[in-house]
Amino acid sequence: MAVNVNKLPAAERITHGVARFTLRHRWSSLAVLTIITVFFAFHAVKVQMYSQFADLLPQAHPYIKAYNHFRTTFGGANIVSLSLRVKKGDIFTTDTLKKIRYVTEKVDQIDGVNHYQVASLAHVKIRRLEARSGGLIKSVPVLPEQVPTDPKELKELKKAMYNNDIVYGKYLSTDGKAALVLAGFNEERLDYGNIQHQIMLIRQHVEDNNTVLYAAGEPMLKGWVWFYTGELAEIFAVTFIFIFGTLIIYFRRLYGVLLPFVGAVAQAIWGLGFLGILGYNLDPLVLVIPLLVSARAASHGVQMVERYFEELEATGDKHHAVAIAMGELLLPGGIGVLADAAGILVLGVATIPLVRKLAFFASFWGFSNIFTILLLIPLLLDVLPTPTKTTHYVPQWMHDLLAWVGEFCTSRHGRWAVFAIAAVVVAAGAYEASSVQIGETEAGSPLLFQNSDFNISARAINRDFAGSNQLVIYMQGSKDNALKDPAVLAVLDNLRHYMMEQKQAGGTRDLPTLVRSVNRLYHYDDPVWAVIPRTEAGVGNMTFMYEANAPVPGVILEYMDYRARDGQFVVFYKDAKGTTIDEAIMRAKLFMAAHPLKDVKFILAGGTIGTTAALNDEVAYSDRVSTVLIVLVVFVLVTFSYMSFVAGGMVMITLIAAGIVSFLYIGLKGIGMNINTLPVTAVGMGIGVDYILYVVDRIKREYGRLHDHDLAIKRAIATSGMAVTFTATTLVGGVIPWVWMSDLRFSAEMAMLLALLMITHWLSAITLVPSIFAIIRPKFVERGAEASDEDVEMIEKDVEAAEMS
Amino acid sequence: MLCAAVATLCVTSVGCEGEAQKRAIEQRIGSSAEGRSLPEHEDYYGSGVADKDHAWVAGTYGTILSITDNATKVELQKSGTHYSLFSVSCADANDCVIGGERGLILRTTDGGKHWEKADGPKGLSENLLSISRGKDPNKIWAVGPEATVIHSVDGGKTWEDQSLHKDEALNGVVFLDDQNGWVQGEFGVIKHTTDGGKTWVESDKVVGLPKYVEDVTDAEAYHRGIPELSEQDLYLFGSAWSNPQNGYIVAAGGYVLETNDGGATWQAKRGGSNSLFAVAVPPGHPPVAAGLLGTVMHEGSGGWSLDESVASRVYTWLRSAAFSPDGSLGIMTGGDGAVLVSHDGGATWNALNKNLITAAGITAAKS
Repeated sequence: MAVNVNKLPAAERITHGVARFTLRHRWSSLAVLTIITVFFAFHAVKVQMYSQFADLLPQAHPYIKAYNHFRTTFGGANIVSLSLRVKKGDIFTTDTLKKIRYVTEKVDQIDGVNHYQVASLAHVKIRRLEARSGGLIKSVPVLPEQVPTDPKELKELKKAMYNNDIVYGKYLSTDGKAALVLAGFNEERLDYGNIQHQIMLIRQHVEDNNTVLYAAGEPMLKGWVWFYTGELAEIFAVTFIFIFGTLIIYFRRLYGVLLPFVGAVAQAIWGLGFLGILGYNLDPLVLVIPLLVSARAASHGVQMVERYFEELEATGDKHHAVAIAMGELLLPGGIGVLADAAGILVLGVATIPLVRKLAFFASFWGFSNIFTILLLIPLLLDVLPTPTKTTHYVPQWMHDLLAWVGEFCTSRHGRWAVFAIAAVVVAAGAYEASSVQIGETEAGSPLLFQNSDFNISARAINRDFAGSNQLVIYMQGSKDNALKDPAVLAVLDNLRHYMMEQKQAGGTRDLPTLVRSVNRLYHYDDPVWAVIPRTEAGVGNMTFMYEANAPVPGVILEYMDYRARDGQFVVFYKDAKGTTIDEAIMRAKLFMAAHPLKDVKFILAGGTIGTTAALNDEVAYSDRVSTVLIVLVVFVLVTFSYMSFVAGGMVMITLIAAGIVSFLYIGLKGIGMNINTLPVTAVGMGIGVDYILYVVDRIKREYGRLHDHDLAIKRAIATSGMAVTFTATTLVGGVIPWVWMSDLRFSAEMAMLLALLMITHWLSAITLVPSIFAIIRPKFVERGAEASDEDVEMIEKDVEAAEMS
Repeated sequence: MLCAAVATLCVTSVGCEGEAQKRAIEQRIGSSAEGRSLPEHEDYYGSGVADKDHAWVAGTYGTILSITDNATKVELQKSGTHYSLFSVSCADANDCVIGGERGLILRTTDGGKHWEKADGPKGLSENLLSISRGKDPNKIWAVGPEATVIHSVDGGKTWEDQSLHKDEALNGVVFLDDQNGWVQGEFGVIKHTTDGGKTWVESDKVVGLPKYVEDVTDAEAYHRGIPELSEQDLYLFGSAWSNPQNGYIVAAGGYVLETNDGGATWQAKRGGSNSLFAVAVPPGHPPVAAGLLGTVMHEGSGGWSLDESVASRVYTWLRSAAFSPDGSLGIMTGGDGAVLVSHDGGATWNALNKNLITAAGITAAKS
């Protein structure tokens, strides 16, 4: 049937065309959607859940390129640190020394360990050289194969270890009460859950009333994350029950409860299926994003069902109600879905594989709402039997509250009061937001609570030893033996002193110190011979003796390669806070610029400090770019949809306000911007934009009926505002359990952040936007007003024609 | 509206916050990229005590600490070098000479406010491990590897070469007056001069050495391949004399060589197995020696015995020992910032407050 749609804006013409087509071919449309869902389900079962360390590194960053280039020679940054500490006495008892050996041997047996990166005072490669009169030199392991039992021998052993520069302060704490065991792990697919489990078993074996085993390091962190994901099922269940229960209370009808869930499940199948097609893994750290997207799906579903019941109650005609709901909500819903999806897709600007993967699959996950919610639910409503009860439950308190809000926001003083309050809050937020730091703000990991096992361990290890966080400065020689040049070593000694001025620096592992130690040993252990030899040959002798005397090959690789061409200079830090990392990198860069070498080039940077510095750079860049992109995308979408810059501008302002609130929360809580917060804050800005869009669109439609701005605003608040209020409270209530149930601090804080964002958007939707409308009375609401009734009639006629045919 | 929104976006852009963070750090660390001495962590090799209110210790990375007011104040002095400094000799509260790495000689005439490099003999490149003055404080000798001996007659301004040009490290020198001096070192070398270093004669007859390098029976030595011990196997470090007849030399392996006949013969004794690097004889007090693993030894009627109090508290090596002329202040130095102080002629030792040393470094960095 030919229809005249020339009076409708372009976007509305498109959405109405889609609505008409879909309802006209309802059964075919349902069949197609079902087939596609089955197709995605087939691929969804292939998805595996695991973490990959390399996915967290921004591969295009120069530090990570350097790290990737050199780690084949020098090892990676995926290191577990274990500290065995005694409460009373010191570690120099037979029993404790045997436990240190046990821990060393057991950790060397864990799947995925790099055996060349296991070290402790009980490891055979940690040696001491003894110089005797007569030129006798003995090379022995620091801890004898037979652990001494004689108290006198134990005392001598203690003395020897205290006098050993390689051990003292590095593998043995300065108070003699703790011993450090380090274990590097491969970075390709690791079973972090197994690593954590094995280390817990080791702990059970060695701990007693006087002995504690602390465990920290990146693999342990991920292992704990894995461990706590076990509780996700419980939290999901609580969230599910809450949302389910709220829907029952509100709708009190099967459709109101079931259909949004059907849509959300279908959406999850599409999302996981797409993930399976792409061949990506699902990382447990970012599970909160798909959860949120699915919750948004339920929210859109509720809007659709709510609008359906509203019309059904008024007219009693199922097809009419479906036509109205679909016709009116497809545009704001579609823009909202596109805004959600775009908000996630802009994260694709990041070079961090984890974030890029998230951008692609999660944006599709969100985009599929158009099919699984905005099309599927109306189709189901249309084909399923008409509900027998048509009365619509409206909580009276909500009704009264929103009526009051509508009056207040349209009153002469009220509209300005709302605007002023919002301006003050935003200004305060902007001020607080300017103090947000890049990178972590506390020692330990912000993924877990400060009283978690991991963070307690990290603090203990950093207190007792040089530090479990390493900055690796690589050295690339232009020729073999470049690193044997005494002048180069003198510069490295200068570097060591310069870097050690930083308060958080606890120690270094560097070639000059090694060469000095060996030189001393070969001069009767006389400390004055701890000098850098004057010639390249002299330095070469020292490095050769060090490698040749080791019982396992490759010990020199901790300092340089076999050709003395490339090397690494390692600084240990007590923490990896953003400020610590910034200062470390800044110092390194200043030094490198001030001390250029002819045959050796300094290259940044490896270790946890280096890789996190790259991450922090990427976070700063990605956040800046993605924030601007989200705002622009939403602005363009809304402007195009309503053919109005004012509409786009208004939505953009509320989006920015939400962003400021998220930074306000982050700033006040002292959370730094890092890779964990980036996707959530970026996504969070776009979440809930559709609340505003539903209200804006409803104002426009009501104006078309009522031809009065204030009445249209009040009616929009009372209707769409009601649905928005309901969905916001449902989602906030569903997310809030994460705050107290999750042992993952990251999840708990992000849940709070997301809840705050949704509340901000909700408040903006029912107060700020209506008051702005009341103040400026934009012209775009008047455009196409007379078409409002026409387009509904067109859809109804199409549906009738389809039924007859 | 758009302009306001863009401005707000810029303010809240995390890129801006990140820059503020970096600027604060830049202001704090400054623009200099030279590593400075970290005196609480440096190793100290040499010490010189002018009197109880003026002492100096020197060590790695060109570190010189001035210790004053009966060891209650510490100041880090500017040496102008990053080379290691090994030996210190002080004539009085103003006049000191330091020997260092690769032939470096530093001297001060104003108590260390200014340290200047002095030129050694042409071609000097060996480490100067020990310094001694004659009765005339302007006469100074310094020794080092490759039998390096250098001599100054003008308080260290200029030096002449008196090297013996042999492949033997000389670790210690002591001059009893302006003519009589002793050097000792590698291969059990003990030499004596009576003409101010122009000529040297061997005076290294040692008696009482054990048969083997380790304390083992013949059978054990055979099975374990332990070599026999001869005089040439001794590695001698520091020396000290209470008078021209009675002197002490300490060595690797914990040996102490004593002479009661002016160096004609040396009796080998052993107080333990840890190498001893330094020995001093404070006036009116028994000799005291220091070495590896916090070893401090006192000579008593029963021979040399370990100072258990120090051994239980100090775990690093101790490389030098020096006393004021009246014995009222003694200083020992060691690794990782260790400085020990004695106020009773070496009978008891306590660590110099490390906070003083740390504070000295911070104060110097700010100046």
